[in-house]
Amino acid sequence: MKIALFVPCYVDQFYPQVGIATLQLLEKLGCEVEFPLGQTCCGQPMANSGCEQDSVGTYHQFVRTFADYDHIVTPSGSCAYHVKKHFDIIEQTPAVRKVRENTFELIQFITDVLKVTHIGGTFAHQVGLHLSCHGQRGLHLANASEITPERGGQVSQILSTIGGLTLTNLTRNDECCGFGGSFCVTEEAVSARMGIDRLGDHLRNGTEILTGGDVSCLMHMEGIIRRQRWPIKVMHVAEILNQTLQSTTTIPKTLC
Amino acid sequence: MSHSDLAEKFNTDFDKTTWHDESLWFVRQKRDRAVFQVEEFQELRELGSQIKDHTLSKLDYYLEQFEANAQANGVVVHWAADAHEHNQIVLDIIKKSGESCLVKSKSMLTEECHLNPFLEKNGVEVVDTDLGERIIQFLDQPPSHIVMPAIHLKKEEIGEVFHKHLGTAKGMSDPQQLTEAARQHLRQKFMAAKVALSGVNFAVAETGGIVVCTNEGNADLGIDLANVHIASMGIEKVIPTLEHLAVFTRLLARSAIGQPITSYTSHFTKPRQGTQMHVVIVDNGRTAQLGRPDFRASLKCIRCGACMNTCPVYRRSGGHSYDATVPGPIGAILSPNIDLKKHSSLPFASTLCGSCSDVCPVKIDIHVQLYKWRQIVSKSGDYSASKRLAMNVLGRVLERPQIYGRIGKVARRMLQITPHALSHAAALNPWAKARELPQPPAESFKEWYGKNRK
Amino acid sequence: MLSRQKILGQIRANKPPELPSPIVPFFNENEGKINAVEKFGEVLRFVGGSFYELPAGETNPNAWLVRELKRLFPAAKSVVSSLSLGMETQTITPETDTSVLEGIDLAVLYGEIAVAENAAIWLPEAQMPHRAVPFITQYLVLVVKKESFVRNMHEAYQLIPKQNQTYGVFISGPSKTADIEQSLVIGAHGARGLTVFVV
Repeated sequence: MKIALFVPCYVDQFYPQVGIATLQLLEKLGCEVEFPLGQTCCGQPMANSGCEQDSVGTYHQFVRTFADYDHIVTPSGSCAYHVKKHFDIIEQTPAVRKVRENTFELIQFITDVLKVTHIGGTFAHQVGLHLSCHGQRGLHLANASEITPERGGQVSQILSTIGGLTLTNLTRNDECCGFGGSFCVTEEAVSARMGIDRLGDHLRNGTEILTGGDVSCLMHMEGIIRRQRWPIKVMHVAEILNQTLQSTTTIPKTLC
Repeated sequence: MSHSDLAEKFNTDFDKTTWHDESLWFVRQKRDRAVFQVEEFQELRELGSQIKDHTLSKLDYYLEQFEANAQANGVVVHWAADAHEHNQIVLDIIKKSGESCLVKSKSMLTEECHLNPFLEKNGVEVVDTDLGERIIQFLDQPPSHIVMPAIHLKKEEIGEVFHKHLGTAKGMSDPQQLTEAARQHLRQKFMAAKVALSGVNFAVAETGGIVVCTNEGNADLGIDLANVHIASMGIEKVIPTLEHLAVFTRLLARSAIGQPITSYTSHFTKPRQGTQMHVVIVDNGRTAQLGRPDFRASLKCIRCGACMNTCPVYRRSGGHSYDATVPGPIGAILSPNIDLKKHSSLPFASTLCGSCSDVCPVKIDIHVQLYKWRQIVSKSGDYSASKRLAMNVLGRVLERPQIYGRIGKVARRMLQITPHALSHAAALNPWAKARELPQPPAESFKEWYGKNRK
Repeated sequence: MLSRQKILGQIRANKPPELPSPIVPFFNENEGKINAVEKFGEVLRFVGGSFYELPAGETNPNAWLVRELKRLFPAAKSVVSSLSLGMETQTITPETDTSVLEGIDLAVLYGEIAVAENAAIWLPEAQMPHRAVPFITQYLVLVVKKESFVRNMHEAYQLIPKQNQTYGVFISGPSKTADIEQSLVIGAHGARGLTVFVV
């Protein structure tokens, strides 16, 4: 099984520690992971701004880079969703179809492909999980509150296997944080307000560490936390899992 | 003004924004409770969606069937290609009746056609009888929500309006008392009016009847006391049968306000003896939307407003920030069809979170259509040229890994050495108005990987 | 008629290929498990109405109705009914003048179908002395026979004839509004109260 790590552009540039944690976590889970050097971005920044035609070259670069791998894993639900959903404007060659089918958000890969649902270890903190909309409603990684009163999803499930970790019970379980790509600057006022409200829910309900599967949402909220000097630390879910999963001994190698 | 400008203005009042958000979230929660009580609700959504898809694919057939049956019932059917023709037809009917006052229940179509100012200009007194509509009519404002037109107003503001227009005591702001004052005021109007206009929630092809849903009972009270009933409907309001109507009566009020059904679901099939009933079937851009494969599903909308209540952007920017007849997510995909230039900012007034599509009772892929409208806006003349260029350059960089790597490194370095006051100057960098920029690390992941793995 | 041709022509040019019409099920798998009358009462109270069932052993439904109505609406001066209860103060016809209708305090009418899932009652024109009566009366009472209850709207529409309809309303609870700050107020324009009696 050939696994490629895709580290999205802004994670590569601003949050290398998330890429490192993802790589180390996958390695601890027994995977041999390559990081193809030709990678850049999924093309979402242009496409979500309405300039899909400007992302076509980036789509092709993405496919060229990853076509030889069985699985492409990324610590970003939003980018994985973009590849799956929006690479439909280029010719659907076998390579394009293969890449679209085999691109996975990290936790989805761990749960659905590696079939690992238990991480264990300890992390004695109250953790607030931010469900990114693209992961939740786009990739169906978690139940949506519009559809069912049952809360639950892959990230919260895997976090709940860690000793000492308490998940924050939010008043609004899955409200958008307001990042929204270029929305965060074109609609600055509403974007900031949404982020403030989202964090208010976490503050009121005792979150010490804010986590999630999408660095973009976390970057936006971290920017507000630092501006407001609120007592919340931000970690990507890969960082928490990588920290608690100390060795590879509990995970059967055969999976990868 | 663009949505973002109007939204920024709205957000200058932090507490009122909180209040607006919470008022609408309350309705969203009521919706959730009502919906989760119906085991088959998701199946009903799918049925609602399929019935509408089917109807749109045979829309000419069902409209003709509706027309024939309505005529057989003694209803006069009119067709209007656009807003102006609709307004003229309504005016002609009123003039012919010899009356000069019209009582009107809620109709988003007449808002879209700007019927009220047209009739008033022609000497007709128009009385909106839905409480929320009457309030904003006094204020000469458009509705800010399609189901709760005055949701943006506080009770104290409404008390002030009633004091001015209805002579209620100054400072009276109790909703119960204000509603009672409106009841007394509007009863007089109902008793006097001989012409009533209503919207149409559903037009049933097989019976030739129309269905109007209200909680207040204002549509019936107006129509049942008048001698002339005019019903205005968009072409997309027709549905084939009563079996199909059953599905929509189960979806509508639960989605809209969390009620199992509206207080009154009224079926007007034949005019009352000795009176007239007219139905005006209006296109006004709808057939063009039908011809856009990516956007025709927007015609499935049953105007429940659930997408507004759930939309985190609508809740924090208010209906008026959309500057369109229908605000919120559904408005943002309907309005560009009517006037792309005026409404070019609306498809961008969304984070594409997808909650709108999840609550939609007829499963319109609203957030997907928002994304698609963005692609059209960017190719039109109504997109910022500098942004257009920036995206083009960004695209060229991101398809070339080496250039991307070099530029990234330079940008991080620049950010490290730029003084905070400059990098965070709000005038240059909207991000930094309320947020810190990420702290640029010494090396990118790619650089780390080169040193540590290969 | 130019616009008619134009609109229909544009629809024909722009509509998608025909899509199938789905079969709408009755959603009655829970038949037997749900007590329709009980459920109806529960929902009616939720939507602001009141609910009375003929007590077991009561042999004269009309006498019980009159007793209850006099107890519940002692102040009602102008009473209208299509049930021949003997407490009607006036007769209303479709020709009755608006000024007379305006004065009605209490209207007692028969509802033909009662829907458990949403407490809606089907009231066709045949049960209305004048179309405006259910709305213009200050208080509305609907009397429903026990055998008229159905579980949901699918079953209800099955019972409504497709032919020869003139006017009919599903009424669920009293007139209400929440147009002022989302505060629920009962009695907007229509009846201030809805009471349902099951006989």
